[in-house]
Amino acid sequence: MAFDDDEALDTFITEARELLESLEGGLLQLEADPDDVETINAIFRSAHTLKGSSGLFGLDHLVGFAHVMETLLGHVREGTVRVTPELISILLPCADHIHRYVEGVAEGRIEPSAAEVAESEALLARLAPFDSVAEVPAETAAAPSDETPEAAVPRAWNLRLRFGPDCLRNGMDPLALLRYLGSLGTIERITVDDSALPGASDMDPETSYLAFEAELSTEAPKSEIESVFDFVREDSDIRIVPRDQDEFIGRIASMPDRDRLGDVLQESGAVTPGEIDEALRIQRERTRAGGTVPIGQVLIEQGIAPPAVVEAALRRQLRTADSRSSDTQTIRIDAGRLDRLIDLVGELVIAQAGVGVHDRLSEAQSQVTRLIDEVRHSALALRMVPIGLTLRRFERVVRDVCVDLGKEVHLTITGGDAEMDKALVERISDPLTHLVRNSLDHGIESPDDRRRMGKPARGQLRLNAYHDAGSIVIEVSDDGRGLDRDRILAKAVDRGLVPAGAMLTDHEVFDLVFEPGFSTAETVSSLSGRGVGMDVVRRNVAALRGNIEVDSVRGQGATIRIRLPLTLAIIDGFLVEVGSSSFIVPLDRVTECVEFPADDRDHDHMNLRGEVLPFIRLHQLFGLDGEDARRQSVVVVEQSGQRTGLVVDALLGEFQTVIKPLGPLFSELKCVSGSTILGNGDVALILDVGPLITEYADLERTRYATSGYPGRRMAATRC
Amino acid sequence: MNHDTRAVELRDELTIQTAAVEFPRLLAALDKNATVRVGLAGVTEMDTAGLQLLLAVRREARRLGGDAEFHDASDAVRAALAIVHLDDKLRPAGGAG
Repeated sequence: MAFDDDEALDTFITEARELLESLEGGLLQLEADPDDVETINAIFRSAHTLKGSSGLFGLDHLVGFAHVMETLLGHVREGTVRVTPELISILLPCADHIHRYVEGVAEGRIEPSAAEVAESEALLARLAPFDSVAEVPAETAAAPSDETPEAAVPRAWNLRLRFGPDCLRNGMDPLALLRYLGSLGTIERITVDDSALPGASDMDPETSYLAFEAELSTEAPKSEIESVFDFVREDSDIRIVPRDQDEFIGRIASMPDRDRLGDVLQESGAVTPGEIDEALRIQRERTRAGGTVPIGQVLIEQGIAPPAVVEAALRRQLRTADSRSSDTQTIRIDAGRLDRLIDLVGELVIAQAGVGVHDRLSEAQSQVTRLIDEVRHSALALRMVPIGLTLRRFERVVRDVCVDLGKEVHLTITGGDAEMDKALVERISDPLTHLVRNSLDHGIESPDDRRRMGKPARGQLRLNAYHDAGSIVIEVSDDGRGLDRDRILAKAVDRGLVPAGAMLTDHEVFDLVFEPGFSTAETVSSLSGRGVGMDVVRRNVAALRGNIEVDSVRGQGATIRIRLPLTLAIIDGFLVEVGSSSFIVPLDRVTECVEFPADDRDHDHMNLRGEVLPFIRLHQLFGLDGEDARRQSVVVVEQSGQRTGLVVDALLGEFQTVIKPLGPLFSELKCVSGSTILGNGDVALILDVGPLITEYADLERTRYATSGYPGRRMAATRC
Repeated sequence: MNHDTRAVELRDELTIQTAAVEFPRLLAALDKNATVRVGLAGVTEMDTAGLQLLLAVRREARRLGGDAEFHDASDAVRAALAIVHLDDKLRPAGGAG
């Protein structure tokens, strides 16, 4: 077995996952549009490739299973098995089964477990009825490697037969061959062409001069017709051309990718391997004689294939070339290498920032700055993938959940080509699944309820993604029952999250569903179930430096909006100085900077244009040494619509920040999301505004509760 | 027009084995403006060489202003002709057979 090469197996597993994804996507697509030939072909190809590559690794279980799927899909492709929802409902679990097995292989478990074997048998048993509908001859089913589709439908062929001059002398009797030809099917028409007969005085009665033109209707493939004339092939001119070219043209159009024209024609059944060889020989002769001719021209000139069929094959070949070239537009790169590159670009940005500080005047420098910026952008773009692939996975989720719950939901996906960091895509998938399930489970009502409320029985779920000011926004919207503001508020008061009688905006109320207190099971039904695990979702989103919010109109639906940064690697930061330390505040959180009013020095809040602005003294919070600067500034940051000031000693301006993770030792640190290296080599911590504010609020609460002055002890250890 | 009619009877095999012998014999029966009646009742076997021979004879006869008529085709001859959809007078049988 070829298991010595782990890398190859890794590639196989990656490929298998992708194939399964496209297989699943294709099946769902097919359910919506059962006659989509392209999709049928794509699915067939996926199954075929899966079988082929698993064979390379000796994964016999997978080979056998995929083979049955492939055979069945082959029938679907040939039109002998119809695409029905039942068929899809069985093929989907089959794809799941393969998926599980592949994951098993990824973990090093080559042999299927007993459970898997049982599952596979059960699935195969469910597939069997579909297969028998196809009524394929046994040998076709047993010889799947033969890719030539040989549908058992009578087809008409035009034969032009000019036998070699010596065939009679060699004991070959064309009449006998023609009689045998008749046994393959029906000779609809045949004429004897004696135009080559010389004058009687020149004629050798033992030389063959006759030619025949026949029209044969047969179920036999071309290769079989051709084999009738095997013995006389050598010096005869045998041309077998399909009468109904449309069938071949259609077949060529729906064929898997092939590089060579000959392969296309041969696989379509319009041309046999022997004919291709002959045409190639003629082509070589012609080339030697000085003129290069395309093989297609030879085939037409020699009457081997009709022009229309050759043209179709040429078009197919072109399409292959097209898809091949679009294939090569994406290459698979080891993520580690990419990270290394981005790391280096990051260093470059840092180094450049250092230069920039010393010499702002040089024009060359500004050029370099611009170039580095471009390099940074394109390096980051390497990590970008369209979110569509992830969103399309939800077709399956929606389908399955709907079947389970007996609901009808139509999923619309828009903005799938919006791109975001691959790492983000992977990590947002789970929270999104949660939201989608939630919408299906609790947002969208049952068909009966919907009808009662005057809504269409079929619910609408919409996934939308778009770019917005340096971040990507993903929306999950439904037209379900929406959130019940009053009940959420009541619950919140009940749980002590909100003081009774508090006046809250809709936004603030809906935000409460993300509070951990709402995650208990008993609230599921009373709160439209929106509370289930929403705190986890928000935590996940926040971990990606994103935020989440809900819009809802009672009875009309809800929209959950996740906003994420495009990448995790670099942010635009705002550099501030506190004492002798530097900190970065993510620029998108900064709303404004104001001078710290001297008369508010003793308070924890200030007056900002008539509003009360609480502030946090970073100097104190982090327990930094040294005295406060004489003139301090306040950086106003916003979190969930709430503004807070950060008191700092100096504002140093915008700074492109390459995020360096802090390392496991500081993983518990809540208010700092990372670090970066400044142009002068100093390290600056990146402040995580969300937790910073909530933590500080908690500390304040504790402080008031105990009425003790917390001093500096809370500083860096807790925060 | 002087319409000469002659008769030739073919017997036994009319195949590649006998073509070299039969061909000159048939040609000898042809003449300007003459119609040759070729009796095929005694032919026990016919192959492509035989068919070609009959066609060549007819063409030559017509070239000379006459014709060759075939009659009394034996079963063996009919069977051979049927393969290429010709009737017992070696005319296209027309339609599917």
